[in-house]
Amino acid sequence: MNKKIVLHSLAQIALIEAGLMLLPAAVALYYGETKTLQVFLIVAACVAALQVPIILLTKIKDTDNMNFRDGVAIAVSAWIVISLFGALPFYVSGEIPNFCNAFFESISGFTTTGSSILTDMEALTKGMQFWRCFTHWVGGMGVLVLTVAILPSDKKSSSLQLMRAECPGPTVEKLVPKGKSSALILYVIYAVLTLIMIIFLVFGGMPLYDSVCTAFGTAGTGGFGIKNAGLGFYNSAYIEGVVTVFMIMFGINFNMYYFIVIKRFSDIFKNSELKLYLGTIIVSIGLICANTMAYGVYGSFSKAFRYSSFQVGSIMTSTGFATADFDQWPEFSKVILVLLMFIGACAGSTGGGFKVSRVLILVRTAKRNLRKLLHPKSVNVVKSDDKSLNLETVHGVSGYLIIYILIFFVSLLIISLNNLDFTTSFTSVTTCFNNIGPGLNKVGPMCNFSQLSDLSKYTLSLDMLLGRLECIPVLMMFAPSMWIKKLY
Amino acid sequence: MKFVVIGAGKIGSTLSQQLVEEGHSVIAVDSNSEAVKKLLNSQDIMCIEGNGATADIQVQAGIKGADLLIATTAHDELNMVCCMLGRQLGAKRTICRVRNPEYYDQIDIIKNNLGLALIINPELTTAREIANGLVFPTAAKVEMFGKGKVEMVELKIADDSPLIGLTLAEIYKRLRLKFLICAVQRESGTFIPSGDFVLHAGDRINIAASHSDIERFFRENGLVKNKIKSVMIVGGGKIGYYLAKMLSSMGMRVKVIEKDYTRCTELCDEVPKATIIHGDGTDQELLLDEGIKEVDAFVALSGLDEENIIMSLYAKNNSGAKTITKINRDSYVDMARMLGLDTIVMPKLLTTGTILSYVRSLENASSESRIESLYHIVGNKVEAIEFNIKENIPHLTGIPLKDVRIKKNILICAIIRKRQVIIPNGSDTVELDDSVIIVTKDQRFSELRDILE
Repeated sequence: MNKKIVLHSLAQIALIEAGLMLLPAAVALYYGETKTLQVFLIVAACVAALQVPIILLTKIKDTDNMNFRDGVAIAVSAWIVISLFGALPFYVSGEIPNFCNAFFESISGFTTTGSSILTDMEALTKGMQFWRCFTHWVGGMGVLVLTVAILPSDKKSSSLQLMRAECPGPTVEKLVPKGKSSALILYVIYAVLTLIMIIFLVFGGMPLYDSVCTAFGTAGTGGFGIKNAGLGFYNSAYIEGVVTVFMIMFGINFNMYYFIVIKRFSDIFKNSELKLYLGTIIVSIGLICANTMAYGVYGSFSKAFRYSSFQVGSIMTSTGFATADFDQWPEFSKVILVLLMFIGACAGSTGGGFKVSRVLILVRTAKRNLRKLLHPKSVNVVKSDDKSLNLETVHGVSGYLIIYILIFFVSLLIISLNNLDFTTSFTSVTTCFNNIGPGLNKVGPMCNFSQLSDLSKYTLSLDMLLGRLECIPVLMMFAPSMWIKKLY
Repeated sequence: MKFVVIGAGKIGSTLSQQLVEEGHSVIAVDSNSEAVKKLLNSQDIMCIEGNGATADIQVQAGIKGADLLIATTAHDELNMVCCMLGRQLGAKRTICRVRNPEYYDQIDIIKNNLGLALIINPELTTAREIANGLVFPTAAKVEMFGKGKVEMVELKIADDSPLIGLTLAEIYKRLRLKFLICAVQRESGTFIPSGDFVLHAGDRINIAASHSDIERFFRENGLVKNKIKSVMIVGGGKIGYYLAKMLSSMGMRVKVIEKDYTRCTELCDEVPKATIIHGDGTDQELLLDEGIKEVDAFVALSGLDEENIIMSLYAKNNSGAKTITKINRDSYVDMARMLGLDTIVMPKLLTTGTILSYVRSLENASSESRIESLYHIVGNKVEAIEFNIKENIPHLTGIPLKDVRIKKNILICAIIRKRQVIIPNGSDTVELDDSVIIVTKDQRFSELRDILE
């Protein structure tokens, strides 16, 4: 990779982050939290000051081209760098005194996982809580997409290289010919949806500050709450309903919203991923409703529907909010939730997981292979949305499945060193790798990750990063030829 | 502006790259998935895989509301269908590549009935460029402005040239001719020179002047070669055909060497004045037999860049002929220059120049100056643009040029007023109805007023 370009881009991204830190500083100023305000200003100033010499020293010439390798290197290092810098406010202010914990919290925020090591989140200052939720919003649509949208566009194709390394899903498509405009459109859609959600929440009687934080957590499909009791604190069916609907909306491919804007409705109805996504949600809600009622967890249908729909939406989109302690639900419901954790949201959304479109392609590939065995001479193609997929995409998805499973097992092995029970170990990896938040048992919705060892926390942090960037870019960084020119 | 480019071949991809560099949105369509992938990875554009001559794909590419559809697939007929369909589906203008000479007899019917804004023929443009170069054998390249009133020629300063070591101001004083050196290429880069610039041996300079002054410039510097009377062309493809026809009508003796026998018979039929040889141009004995040592010019137009380079080198080393080499790949140009081949033509750059000047004149259609022609003179870095001034431009028209504040790296190199060429100095002015030729480096202009600080 071209280290000069990578360093230059990293410095630019860090500068943007320093700029973003001014927002929580403003919140702290508004609430009169002088100490928090100082922390944010100092950290932002230090981070910014650190970047100036780097930017000056790594001047980019016209001849410097960015290739896919550089894009990947920038994406992965950028996520690590912003998580490190993002942890500084927690650590410097002393609100999370252990650096390992602060880093875990920060990366959990940026990767929109929402797993927390905090036992008492209400103890945080308003400014710090705002930063914690804001990392979800930034991480949701992506740091690099933000960079592409903000920074002056170059004439090369580097924007696509960057977005491809970050955007979830098996294939990346631009909405409009220019990378910068595509990124801007995505962010405008994202911001407008978030704003609508805030309005709905405020309308339901939620305080403005709480609404903004909750909307950030939902939009990024993150799941950090600001109350120890989560959204259950407000005990309002309206608020839960609003959050459910918006969680599901943020789990949909953002291209669909662009199609609505440019009035190409036929493309939305044709989209098989969307159909499968909504279908899975409806079926899961039905099953969990029936199961919980049959075991008498909830007495009435309305109650069962309220809690199950919220939970299914929350888990499937990898948000990870909780209104009920689903650890107390019957096994069948719990298993459904764990399965949903793996499936995840749609490609091109802010959600995590394996992605519905990949599941769709895998199932269709399996079907094709079966038919091939039945009729050995038959010629079949795997189709998605009326378009036949090229073999490379199909192989890519199968390859991704193998990598996904391998990483999962290795992480599980490391976590098992904590000597906790199997459910806890298994679901803690599941939940972090798929960027969800709460797991089951000791890492359940009403507990947190503070009792794990530092090794486990770092492993889970890496899992979150692997999950958010979809494994392959991170693994590419381990290839020696990425680093040593001679091995190209 | 929004562009749809159908066909991501040599011309399509060069064109889309230049359009993106000028800040336009480009959607490329090609049925070859490899070509699509390559383009997507190297340029900031959107690509669609599929047949561009189908309504479905064109609608997907957003043809409705597109400012320009450019069809550059390999087949003329397909291009015409693309353009016809595009017009019906709502493209504002269409540009079509037609290169088969047979269609050129009824080209006006095609253009009017399909509503084409422009027809491009890279082969014809290339042949014209080569023919221009053969008229001025010493110059590497010749561009025409103002309907031939002003010519811009590129030439290499020989090692024993009397101009070496002089500043441009001294040269102008010594030669007492009306000309201007408007761009200098050297290994360390390309310059738009000012009066205190010193020329070195091996520099390639572009000079602008009227035809008679350029002839005099060549004569006084001992650069005149004998007029070219005989030309050997290797490769009887479309460029070869157009070129042979042009040159033989100018009275030159033309010999075309072509590998394919049927093509040879076709050429015999189409260009009766030329001598057609059936044989392999890379066969050196054949070249010797056909008199490469005696010929005045040698033009390598085969389909392979490598063959063209090798043949030209052979011709250069074995005769005093002026060689012209056709090269398609960008990366070979520098290599060929290093080997001493100075006259190189790149069909794709010539064509994209035509389209870009059309695009920019669309952009500035409402303003006070109009683009008449545009050339890329040094690779892709330096542009020469001819503007026609239709209205007064404040701070520019009527003011002596020494008082006009012009941006860096821009030179006003000629003014054409009432069919008279003025090579301007500081006391000249630009007036209404003049044509102004400017040379710029690393900048893009669609309006003349943008050159002001």
